[in-house]
Amino acid sequence: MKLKTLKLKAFRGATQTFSLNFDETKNVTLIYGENGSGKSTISDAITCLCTDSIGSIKDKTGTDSGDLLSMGSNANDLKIQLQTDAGVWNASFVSKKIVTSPSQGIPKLRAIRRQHIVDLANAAPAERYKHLKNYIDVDGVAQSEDKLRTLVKNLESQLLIQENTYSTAEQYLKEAWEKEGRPLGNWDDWVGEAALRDTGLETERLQKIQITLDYWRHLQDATQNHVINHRNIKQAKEDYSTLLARQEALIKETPEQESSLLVLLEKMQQHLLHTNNSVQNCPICQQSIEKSQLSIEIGQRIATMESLSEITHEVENAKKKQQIAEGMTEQSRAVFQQVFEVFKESMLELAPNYGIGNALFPYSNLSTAYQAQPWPEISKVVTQLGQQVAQLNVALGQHTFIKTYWSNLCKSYVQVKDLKDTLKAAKEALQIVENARKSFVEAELNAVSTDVDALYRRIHENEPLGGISLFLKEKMRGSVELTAQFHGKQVGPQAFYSESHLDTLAFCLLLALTKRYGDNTTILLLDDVLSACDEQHLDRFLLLLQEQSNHFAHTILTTHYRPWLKKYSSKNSESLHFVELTEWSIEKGIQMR
Amino acid sequence: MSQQNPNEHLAKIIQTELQQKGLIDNTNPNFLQKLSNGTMKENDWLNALESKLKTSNLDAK
Repeated sequence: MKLKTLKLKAFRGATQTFSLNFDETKNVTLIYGENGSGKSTISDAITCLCTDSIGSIKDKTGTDSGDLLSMGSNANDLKIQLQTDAGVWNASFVSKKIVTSPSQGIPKLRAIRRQHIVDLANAAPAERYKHLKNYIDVDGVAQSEDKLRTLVKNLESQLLIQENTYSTAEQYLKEAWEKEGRPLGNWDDWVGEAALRDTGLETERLQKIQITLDYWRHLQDATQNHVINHRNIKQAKEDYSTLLARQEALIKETPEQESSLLVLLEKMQQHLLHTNNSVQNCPICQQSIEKSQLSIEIGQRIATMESLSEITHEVENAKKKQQIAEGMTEQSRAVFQQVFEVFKESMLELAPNYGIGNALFPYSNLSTAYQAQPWPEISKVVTQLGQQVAQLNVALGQHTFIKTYWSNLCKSYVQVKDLKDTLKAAKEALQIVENARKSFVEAELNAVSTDVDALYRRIHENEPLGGISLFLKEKMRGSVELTAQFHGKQVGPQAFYSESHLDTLAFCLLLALTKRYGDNTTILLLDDVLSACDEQHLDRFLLLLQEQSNHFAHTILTTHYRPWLKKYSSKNSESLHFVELTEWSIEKGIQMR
Repeated sequence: MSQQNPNEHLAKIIQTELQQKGLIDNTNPNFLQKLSNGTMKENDWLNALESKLKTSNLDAK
């Protein structure tokens, strides 16, 4: 890819339309300008067009994307255009950010600023790794590796749980086998057989016995109830007879106190109470009467018959109680009959297993059955049935226990086997991924180290320096060591190299990385990278850039370093295009000489 | 040699080695992409490994 033209309008310092025509015959463009002449505007424009970054202003506090607009310009005015032999890309300001169109094929950009070099030169191993990660980016694989590592840990936990489940089940089943007297010679044969035993008949028998025992309890309740009712009716009959005899004796003692007369008088009293005052004749004999006087007389006669009145009421109440007791007795007799028959039927159903037969119920009718309570023969059988229930519950409980733990044992056996297989595979995979990642990064660092060393020696020819070596720090993830030679010794260069030597070392490292991870669509932008360099090293530096420039689409170097102006303003080298920016003003914008 | 995308390059190396060691098969089209861009989840790994284990067990039978 060859750069042709960069056009700026309303972008930062470009208050007027600015065009930079690249010399297509040269791979390197050196842009010289004093501070404030517009160099950063040019480098930021390329950065904004080629990347999502907003260039150098992102490093300054109190700035935002709105500061990309030239003073007094509208967002619609902003335009960045880069023409190349591979296409034209336009960037504009949309929704407070720079949008490049078309979005495909945009030239790649590697921008190296002075600050990057200083930071890298002084970085500790972990920080150095972060710088290199921008180039040797294996973060995606490293994240996937972390997930695999988590899987291994989870599988180990699951395996431990399943092994514990298996051990617990095995221990319980062995104990049960021991308790049973070690049948069949080994525990697993016995457990397998016991777990598979069909308990359908036992369960059915248990249910039937339990139902029969329930009926037995109902029968006892019904019998008890009927006994009470029977007793009650007997008492009620006795009470009624006693009161009736007393009433008759009272009438005999005082014949005038006939109970029928008492009734008649009471009715007459009620009649007079409820009729109006106009009654003047007796309603029975039609003789003339005085109502109030007659009421008083009737009341006096009733009072003299008080004893008869009381006993008459008691007789009536006793009769009612007897009737109620008769009803309840009839009802409890029916319940007793029903429950007795159901119980008998239920007992006879158990006959084949427990030797129960009709002989147990030798009663010709319900009355004789009732008279025979509390049925000692039946009670004996019921007691045996209760014992049978206890035995069946123990047997079925043990079966459930064995079946449950046998099932746990079988399931955990399979799961332990599967988990072991999966865990083995996961561990092997993790080892492969981890080794591959480390080897890959080591190989990359090794390749980069070789190139850094070559580049560095090019700048510092005949100096006892070099031997650059980058390698991953042992047992430390995300940490890169850097060593270099100093008078024949391999040292950490930060302690032995001068500031400018460290700067060129960091620059060579970034240049080597850009070469390795860039291509002929990559623009290398060097924004004021070297400021303190003697003339000899300066020449070698520029020579190096020209030599390496064929690895990139183009190399753009900005500087305010005056010696470069003197050296290149009057002459252009074969591969270097020199551009000088003159004084910037708000009216004229960025100006070229 | 230029390494345009180290993640993709490394992911290919890993996939090849995992296949050669018989730990995964080549039936999952998303494996490489997920491995490369860091979106592999625990379950993705588990599925890839178990899928191969099942195939191997069937073959053994």
